[in-house]
Amino acid sequence: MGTILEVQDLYVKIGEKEILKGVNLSLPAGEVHAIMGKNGSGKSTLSNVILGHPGYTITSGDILFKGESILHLPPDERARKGIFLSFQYPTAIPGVTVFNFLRTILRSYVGKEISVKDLRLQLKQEMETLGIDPSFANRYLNDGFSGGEKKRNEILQMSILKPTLAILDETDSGLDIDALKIVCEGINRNRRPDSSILLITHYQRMLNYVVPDKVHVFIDGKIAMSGGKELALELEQKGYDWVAK
Amino acid sequence: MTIYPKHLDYTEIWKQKNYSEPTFVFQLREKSLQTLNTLPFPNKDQESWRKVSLSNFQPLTYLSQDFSKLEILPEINLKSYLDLSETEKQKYEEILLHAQNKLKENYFAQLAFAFHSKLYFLCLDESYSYKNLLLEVRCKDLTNLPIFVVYVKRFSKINLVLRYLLEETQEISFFNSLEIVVQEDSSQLELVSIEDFGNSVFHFRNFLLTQAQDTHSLVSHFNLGGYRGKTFLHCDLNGKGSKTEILGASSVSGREQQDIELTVFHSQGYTESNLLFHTVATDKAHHIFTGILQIPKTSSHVQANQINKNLMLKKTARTESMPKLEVFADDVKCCHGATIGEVDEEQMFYLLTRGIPEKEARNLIVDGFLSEILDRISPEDLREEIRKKLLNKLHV
Repeated sequence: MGTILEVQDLYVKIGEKEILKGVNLSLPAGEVHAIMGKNGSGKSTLSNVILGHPGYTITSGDILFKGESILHLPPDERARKGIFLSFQYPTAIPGVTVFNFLRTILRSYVGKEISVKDLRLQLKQEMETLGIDPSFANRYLNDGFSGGEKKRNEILQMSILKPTLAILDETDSGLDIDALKIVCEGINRNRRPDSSILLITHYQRMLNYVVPDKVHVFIDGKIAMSGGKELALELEQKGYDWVAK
Repeated sequence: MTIYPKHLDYTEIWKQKNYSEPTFVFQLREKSLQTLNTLPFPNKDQESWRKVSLSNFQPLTYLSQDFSKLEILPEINLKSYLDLSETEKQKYEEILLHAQNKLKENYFAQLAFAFHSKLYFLCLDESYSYKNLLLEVRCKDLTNLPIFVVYVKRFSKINLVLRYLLEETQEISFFNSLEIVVQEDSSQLELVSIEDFGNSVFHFRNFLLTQAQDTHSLVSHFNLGGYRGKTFLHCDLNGKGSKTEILGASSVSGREQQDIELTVFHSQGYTESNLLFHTVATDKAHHIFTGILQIPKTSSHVQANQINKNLMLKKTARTESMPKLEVFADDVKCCHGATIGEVDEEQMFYLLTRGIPEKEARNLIVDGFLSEILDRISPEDLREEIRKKLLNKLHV
């Protein structure tokens, strides 16, 4: 199906501070790529910029989704094209229940109203596989959720929306080993030949469960090294400073 | 514009009314008339009236009219003074006199006592559970001054909706109500109070709740409109083990100005209050919230929480939040918080990344903001009706 995401020589700043300094990345259909790197190296900035966060300024470069530039599109249009971001810190929206939220986002995605009955049925199955209690649907979105609940909720949305490109920003943080396994199984179920996953993480442990096709190392706002899945193991042993040298 | 003197004299207009009533009611009026004549007309020098402009409000003009066409649906359990038994009279007179004294410095409470169109008593049995009681008060006159007394007896459980309806008229109308609610030991009350006023209504309200030992109340207040006015909610936790939750939501738009002042008085120790009030403002509207918490030195082991959140949809709108904590006791747990802000950018971005268009995302956040309050009231159909009205005002 070709390339899903192409980031071309991307420079981004927030205020006067330059964060991304020439990122190049190509993510073919059906592949999972992992981006690893230290805190503050620009990994989350890249994910936010792909979705069009208004707080960042792109000074040069381009982002192509299925061969077309998306820089001119607002975040909601990018999402409706099939780009999904699982947030590192999903924001709480008190007063909006998970069920109503899911119904609203499905309506936006599909373009038509989903019946309560159909959604309940679909949710029941997805929640069971992710080990989520059914009462979860009646809680306010991310409000008072534990770290693990927030991450499961993100993967629940991904499972329902079935995006073409899923960017998972440190989905493993805040998860215990059991929860990590369940969440990773959820991610693996979403691997399809016509879609891709960009997985951002600090640690190799997640990559034991979601095995990437490629690993990229982010240092100081750009990709400093790329390799196969074995690169993650090497990083675990040698640290990031080794790449910088 | 009428500039009023510091005091208004209501004696002449009161005499013209030629009240012919049982001695107790007459004396109740007369006493408040005397109080009223000594009270300064609300003005910006007074703390409670600093923000409300009453320069174009002319009470004497409104009071000179006939105002008796108040329709209450249904009238089940409602009695007039003359319908009360001797035992009931004794109790209700005690309640009224206590309220009259407690609110002696409140101008509009005294105005209601002196000129009320009618006294209504909601008579309920002891140890009985009343579900879905609805009192819908349809105001037909330009001037409306009802007083309601609700006496919740021991071990009773009451679920009551009190809704005031006053449609928009060509002339500016005047509404001034007083509700006195007394809870006896171990009773429970859930009260939903709705002010459904048109944009041409000067509206003033006093709601006085007194709770005895081991009582529990959940009072929710919704203002759905009006031209200008002020609502005072007073809650006196007057028995150990009493607990109140007070909720409220307002949405203001156009050039509307609404003002609510909420006072919780922990007159006894081992009491608890939780207050949560949300306001959404748009256009050039102005909303003022004052939360007064009073804990005297003698009230220990008190828990009190007060949160007021304000969401502004346009920069031209104004909301003000004034928490006033008068805590003199040592062994208490109190917290208060107030926020005023626009729609959160991170919340917006989160919803946008899920494909929700900007306008719908903004509406969802506003809906959620109001739902935090609405979801806690039990009549579901009413919840949806209030939600629609609050959102409609915001063009959402």
